[in-house]
Amino acid sequence: MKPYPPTLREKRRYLKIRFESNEKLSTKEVVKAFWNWASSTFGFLGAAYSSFALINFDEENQEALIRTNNEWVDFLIGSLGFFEKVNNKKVRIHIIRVSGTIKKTKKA
Amino acid sequence: MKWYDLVRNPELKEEALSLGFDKVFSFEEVNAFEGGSLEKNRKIVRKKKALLVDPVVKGKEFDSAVAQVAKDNNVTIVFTLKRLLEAHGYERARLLRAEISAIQLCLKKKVNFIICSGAEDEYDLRQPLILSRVGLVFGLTLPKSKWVVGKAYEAGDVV
Repeated sequence: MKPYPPTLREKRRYLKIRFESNEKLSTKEVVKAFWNWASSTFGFLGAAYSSFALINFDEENQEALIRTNNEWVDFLIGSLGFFEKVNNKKVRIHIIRVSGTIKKTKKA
Repeated sequence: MKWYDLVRNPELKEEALSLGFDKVFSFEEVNAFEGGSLEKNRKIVRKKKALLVDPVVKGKEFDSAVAQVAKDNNVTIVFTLKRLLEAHGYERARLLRAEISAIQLCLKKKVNFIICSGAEDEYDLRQPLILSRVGLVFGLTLPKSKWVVGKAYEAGDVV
């Protein structure tokens, strides 16, 4: 298959975020809570248009890496303000870095 | 650019400052009054340089007459994230719709308005980066969305 030309390719943005909570959160809880939040906030259409995905979650540092595209990044950051609970535990999201590559995002 | 926030609980001021805000005010410090009904809103907007907090609940509490009086008396309208976080499901959607309509009216009548966390506990606080993008959810453009967390405070003499 011939690859897409660079002008047609999606410009991805990666966000490194930290979950601030009293208790430690497990990957399973975070993944479930994240998709619940995404489906109630954007719906499956918004998730598709924004190419939204949770790439990984580091249980030790309670940090997650999420992906979106350059057109939706600001809207996604704004809607992260409505993320409030993981498995009935109150959480607050802290954005550490926004970048165009996974490598640079992980460095922060 | 300077970032400002308004909180309900004065004990959270230091924590909010640690998140990156330049100045944080409690509702007690500024001339802020909670709205919610048409009569309450009318009463508050008659006070000069007051802050009307969360004027809408269902959508008919903030009309063009209230907005015009708010404009004449230099009243600032405050929309808090806390009110939206308290609502869930259909209620949240209805409240957001009502707040979007109120914001559009504010834009039309050129009434000063701000968006703040209105935090009661530490988990209601948000970073300036997040709070400055919440306006996008309300249908504002990015520059306007940043303006309501920064220079709108200066324009409304809140600072």
